[in-house]
Amino acid sequence: MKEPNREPGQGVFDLVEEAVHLLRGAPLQLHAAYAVGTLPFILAFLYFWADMRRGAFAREHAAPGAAGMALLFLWMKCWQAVFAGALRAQVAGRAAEPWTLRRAGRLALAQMALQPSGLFAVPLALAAALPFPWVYGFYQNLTAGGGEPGNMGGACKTAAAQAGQRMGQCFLLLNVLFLFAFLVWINTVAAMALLPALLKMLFGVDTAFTQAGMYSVLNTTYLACSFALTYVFVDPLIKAVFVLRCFYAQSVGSGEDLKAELARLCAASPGSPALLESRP
Amino acid sequence: MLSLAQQHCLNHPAREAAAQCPECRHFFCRECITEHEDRILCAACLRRLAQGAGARRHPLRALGRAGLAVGGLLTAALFFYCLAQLLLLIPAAWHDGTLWKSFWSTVE
Repeated sequence: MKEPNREPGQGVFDLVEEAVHLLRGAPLQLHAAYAVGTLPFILAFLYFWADMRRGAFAREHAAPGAAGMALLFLWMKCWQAVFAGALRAQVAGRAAEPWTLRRAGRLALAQMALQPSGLFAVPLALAAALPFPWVYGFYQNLTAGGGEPGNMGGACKTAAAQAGQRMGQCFLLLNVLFLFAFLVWINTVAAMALLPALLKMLFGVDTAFTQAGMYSVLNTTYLACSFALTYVFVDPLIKAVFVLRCFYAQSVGSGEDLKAELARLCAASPGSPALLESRP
Repeated sequence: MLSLAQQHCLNHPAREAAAQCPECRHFFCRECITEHEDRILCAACLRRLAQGAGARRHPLRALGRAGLAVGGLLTAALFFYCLAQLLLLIPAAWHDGTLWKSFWSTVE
């Protein structure tokens, strides 16, 4: 019988499973860092959506609102890069590098310069279908490698090279992740529809949702809320998966996965400290 | 010129050469070379390149980076402005979901 391929970072489901374990093992501060970046953007986005939908002075608000959203988007991307950088350190089994003003400034500048083009490029790639895995992977890799030292051009080159590696795996991975996101979205919509009904049934509390009836589900703000919640639930997993993909892609050249495994083995068996000394 | 198999390390003449440094063109054994950005380099050239990368920083480079960041901010603002215009264009009946209500009542 043919031996299954057990090389780390190869199997799609193995990668997703490892990403889940990575997130579960991450300290609370790391999740807090993600929330600090993402939640303000999500809340502001929902407010912006609702304001543009029915605000009396929406046209006057559009330009300053868009500027505020842009700032919060970049704020989110910077924190997501911090989150991904810490995950990367965790998977490599090393302590996260301390944050200096210089490092934070370099990260912020790189994310500000590179990520916004993704707002146009990702939907366009989705419309064209075929380049989508590469484009989406490229922007995720930019986040995953955001905390790494190096210049902006180097980060772009690395992200592009890593996006081009194992394209079949990336394609399958995105299918699995988007199917998972769809299931999460269905559950979110169901929970959002059922909770107000349960609240009315059990406690007699009437809300705008129960008053609007079943058609409130078709309200675009309601749908935007469900998509935003799905993003908050699923995006950390996507970030963790791409952190692992980048880690394994880089390990082909650096052997970092072997060093991490060696460190883990040495930590598990304290009788062999000599092995650790061989680490650079 | 002798081939790689016939060369010896510049630092360790007793050892056979394992690679030629693309920068200084000298031959080195496995211990004297290292990989840097997908290139095999000798330790001296790597040190020189690292120092050079630090020294080459141009004062306008920081300005260029800041310009790129401002460009990124404007791109993001443009995207959200376009989104706002799109949301303003959509009729209120579509936003509220009442469009579907009247559609279903017509069907029934």
